[in-house]
Amino acid sequence: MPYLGKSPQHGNYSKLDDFSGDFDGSDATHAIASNGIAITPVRPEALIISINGVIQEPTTDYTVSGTNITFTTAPTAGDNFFGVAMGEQLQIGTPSDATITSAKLSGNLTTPGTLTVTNSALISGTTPTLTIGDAGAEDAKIVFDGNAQDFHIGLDDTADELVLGLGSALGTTTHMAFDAAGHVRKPLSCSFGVRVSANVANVTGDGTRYTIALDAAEWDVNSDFDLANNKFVAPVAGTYCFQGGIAMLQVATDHTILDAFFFDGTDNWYQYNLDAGNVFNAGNNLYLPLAATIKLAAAAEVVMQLQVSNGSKVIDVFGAAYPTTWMTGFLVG
Amino acid sequence: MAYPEDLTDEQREILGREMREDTIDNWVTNVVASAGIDGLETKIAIIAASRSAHPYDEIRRRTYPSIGDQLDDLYHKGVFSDEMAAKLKAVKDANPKS
Repeated sequence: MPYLGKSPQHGNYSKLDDFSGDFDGSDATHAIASNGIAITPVRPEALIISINGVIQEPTTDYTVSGTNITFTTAPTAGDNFFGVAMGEQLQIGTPSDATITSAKLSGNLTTPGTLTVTNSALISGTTPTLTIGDAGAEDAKIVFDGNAQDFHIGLDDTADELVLGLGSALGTTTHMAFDAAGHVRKPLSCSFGVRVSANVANVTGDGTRYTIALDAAEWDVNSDFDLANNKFVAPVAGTYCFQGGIAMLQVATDHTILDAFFFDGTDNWYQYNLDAGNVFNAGNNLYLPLAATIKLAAAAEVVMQLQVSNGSKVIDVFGAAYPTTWMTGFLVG
Repeated sequence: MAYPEDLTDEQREILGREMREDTIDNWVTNVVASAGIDGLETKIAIIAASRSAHPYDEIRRRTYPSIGDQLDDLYHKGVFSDEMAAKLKAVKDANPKS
């Protein structure tokens, strides 16, 4: 009895159109159709195929892909053929919005495009792991898309470094970088090294408190040292570590009180209180190191100062094209 | 001019206001090496302007041999008590000249 209404596609057995005329002993793949309409078998077992009266074994003797059948051995010209299709791939149509639940999913899932998750994403299980990248030679990153500033965490595949930086483009504004050996760099963080470029004559000795004229930079990452005014200006509030070296010339025996400081505008960070007139060397020179870790407010200023008393103002500060009298510093955190 | 040989008595007196007499020549040599003769003359002028001449007792104090040299001389002349001489000799014996 014929179907009433439109014939069903699935479970509707049909004889395949004969394509034996295309057999030539070399062409193993042929399009399959019934009554001129392409057939898409869901699997090889959905077909019964006969060559010269011999039923072919699915998968072993032939496979299907889309609307094609591919024989393991290409039939030769003159071979007899018939075939029957016992159903096509089930088309379930497009699910309605908000009808597919997580319970309907299983196995490893792959999205063909960008996956957007609204609100939170949770990775659970005994060993939660989020893998970004596929071992290819390309950068991989997480971008934090902010209102005023974007930041990123990423793998710079060229440098083989994990980097944290500004913006969404990896490698252009790196704030912190970790290399494969474990070295951690902060290439844009406050760091400077400055020196006195030439001798400065007769600066102290009579009690004058002299601010060392640090006027040349060896390096200054963010131009935080004001060379014109010989002072460091903190770019942000934080804890800073400073080191320094003061080289004095023409110290005499009457220069019996010496003080050296880092001065932050409020506090003197005393380094010495000694009898310079009895500790200078045969060249009448006296070199002193200084160091301090100071917590500063943003825009706070730090200078390095020297005060020698009880004599005349004849002490020079030794400066040169290399660091003789110098100061370095960096932001600790 | 060749310093410190050519220092005048007046310059030595001025420098003596700033430092012991036995250190003047070395200081002058180092100043000339670092700052030149002009630099030396500037410094002498600074000292002259900032420090007045010492009274006689200060000049004497700066000119006397060191206290250590004076005591050593007394020891060798044998003017210490036997007890003090014995203590000093014990230190010398424990630390012979190498």
